[in-house]
Amino acid sequence: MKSKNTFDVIVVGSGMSGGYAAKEFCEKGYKTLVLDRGEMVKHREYKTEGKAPWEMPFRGEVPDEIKATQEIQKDVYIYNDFTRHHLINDQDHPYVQKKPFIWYRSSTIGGKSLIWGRQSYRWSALDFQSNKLDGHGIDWPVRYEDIAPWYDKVEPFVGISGSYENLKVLPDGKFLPALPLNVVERDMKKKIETAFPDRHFIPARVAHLTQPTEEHLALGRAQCQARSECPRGCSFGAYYSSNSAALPAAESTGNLTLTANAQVQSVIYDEKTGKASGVRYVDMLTNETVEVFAKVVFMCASTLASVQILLNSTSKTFPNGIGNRHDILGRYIMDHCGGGGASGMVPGYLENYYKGRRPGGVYIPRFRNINKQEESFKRGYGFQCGASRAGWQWAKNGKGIGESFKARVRQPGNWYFTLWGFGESLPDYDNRVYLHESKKDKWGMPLLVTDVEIKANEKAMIKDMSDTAVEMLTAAGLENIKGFEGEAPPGGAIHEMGGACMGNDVKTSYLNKWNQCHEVSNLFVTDGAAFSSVSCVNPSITFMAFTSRAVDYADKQLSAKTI
Amino acid sequence: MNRRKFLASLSVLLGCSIASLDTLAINSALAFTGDTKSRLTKHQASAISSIADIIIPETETPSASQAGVTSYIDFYLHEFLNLEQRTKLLAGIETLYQSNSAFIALPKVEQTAVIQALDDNLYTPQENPAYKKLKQLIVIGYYSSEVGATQALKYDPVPGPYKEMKLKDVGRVWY
Repeated sequence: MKSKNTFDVIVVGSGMSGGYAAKEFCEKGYKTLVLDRGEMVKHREYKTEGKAPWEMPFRGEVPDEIKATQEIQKDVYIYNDFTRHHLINDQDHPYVQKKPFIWYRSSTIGGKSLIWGRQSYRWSALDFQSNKLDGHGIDWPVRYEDIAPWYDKVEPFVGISGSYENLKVLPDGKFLPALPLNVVERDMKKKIETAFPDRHFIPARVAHLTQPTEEHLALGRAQCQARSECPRGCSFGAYYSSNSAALPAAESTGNLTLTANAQVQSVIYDEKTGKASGVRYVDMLTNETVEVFAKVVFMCASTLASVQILLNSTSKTFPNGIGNRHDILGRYIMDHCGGGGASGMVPGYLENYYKGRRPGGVYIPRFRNINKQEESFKRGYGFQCGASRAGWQWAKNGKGIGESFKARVRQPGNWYFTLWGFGESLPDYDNRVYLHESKKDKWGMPLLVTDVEIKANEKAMIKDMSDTAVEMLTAAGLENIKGFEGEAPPGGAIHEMGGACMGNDVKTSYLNKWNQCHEVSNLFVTDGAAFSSVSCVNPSITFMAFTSRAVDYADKQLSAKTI
Repeated sequence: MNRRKFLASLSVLLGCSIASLDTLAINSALAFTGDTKSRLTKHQASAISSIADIIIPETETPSASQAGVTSYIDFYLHEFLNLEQRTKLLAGIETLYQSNSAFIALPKVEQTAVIQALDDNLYTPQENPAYKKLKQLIVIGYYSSEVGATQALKYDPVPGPYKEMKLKDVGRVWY
């Protein structure tokens, strides 16, 4: 019994972090068990991929009674009848919002790597220094130089298209050829960079194979076909997901055991050894509780889920959650603040068009508070943007009938350009999650309570996003410019981080500089929970870089028998 | 047959047979659960077809009803909407011009004038909500149908890498 349930390594979660942890451990020869709450979804078995709208009963629209079972998930930007099965049923997975928090969650193996936004940027030197410089949050125990080699390692495997820009605020990585800017964007680039020399208008960096390498081809991954149906799953393996890349790579070693429908509820603490001996999970199909054991446990269940499991891992030594001696677990929960931006109509260019649905447009990296504190708010934000022509969708709510209406719908409309800001929220000790004292889900897991809000700094930043977006579109000569300042609840950017932060001090942080729990040496957290601040760039590739580094460290410690 | 086209291009890129991919696809494809039998009355179906073809008439490409919009709306009304929503919308459609049977009896030019007046009132205080919803269903039903997406619009399930082109070389708007 014991031997069947004993592995070298247990990885909880199979998404951006867990999938990659599994690949690296398996390749190093460790018998690795990956547990995931989600349903099994194997690469190239994507139910709705390649389906035309007329092959769906409601052309992609989701009926109210199904939406009612996904009352949180139904608002995620990718939600439709083609994708909804990749998101959880909220009725089965409740949580308690003491303050509003949007918790988007995957329902599958591969986690959110199957449905992510795929924008991939390195963090900068400034990002790792900000907590120290302005005193918010815990000083990171690492700097950019510590992480750079691990980006170098992860990026070629993932496959990231991008341009080399030599910007301090957005370090270059190891790129595949960049996605092209279109004619409108090329002209806007000139105008905006001339009017604002500190702002850079560059191709979005996305995890899409513009030119697959031997390594990609060996895994059966092919060039991106610009279908823009990514969240349904991609049999070309053209964007990175655990399902298409890391998990098949792990599986090919013969060292991987992948268990779906496994809700990990706690890490088991061994009072005698002072280590984690394994984890306890519930088989969600049979309701059976199973204990599995390993030399090392990697928590990669996604930010909030990892924290939830750790809080629920109680023992005599740690009555408030494993390793949580100083009430630090669950604190400093952050998400990017967004909702500020602008859009406008680009006059002209009506003879120009394109083919293909490009998976990424333009990125304008952070330009606020770069060299010194200059604004009324701290830190900064970047913009994701792009230019495209209006399609036929206006006709759903447009006026007109008859031949002239039909003729108008048949031609593309004007060019439009939109900027969406993503800002760095400040780490705040009081923004926290904790376990509900009595409520549990149907498998017996205590519910998570979210007590997180955006504050004055974030609000000021969102206002500035709108102002600078409008001024850039004005400088570029756009018309009908509209700024917006939506104030979405935290979680809405789906870049939630923190809760098990890294730091140097045992009393104020949960993990050390190796993503290793200060109090329990064979317990690691390498998903977003480990993050002590959030930068303003998309985090997934950085989760992977930290994961890679932590696996390397754990491997060396295991060899030296120090953990 | 779009999914088949997608599988064909995938098999070329990956160098394997369509059969091996298609078996997987068929095994896992979501079943189309709705039936296609007509549940609208003859008058309801006829009025909806007439309105649909006034909004989207036959030109060099088929009309709305020729593209199956009426049966799509029938299906949507009975499978997507709940009883209350369906009853309300059908009652609203019934009164767009006195009644469905009265509307059908009008000469084409008068039918067009009725619809033109309803359309002119969109987004004004006089807007008719049943017309607004019906027009949405007609537009979505047409342009997301195989005929609408591939003939009225341009549809390419596997476009290959993004490429700038002149509009004259594409010809019309992409689905």
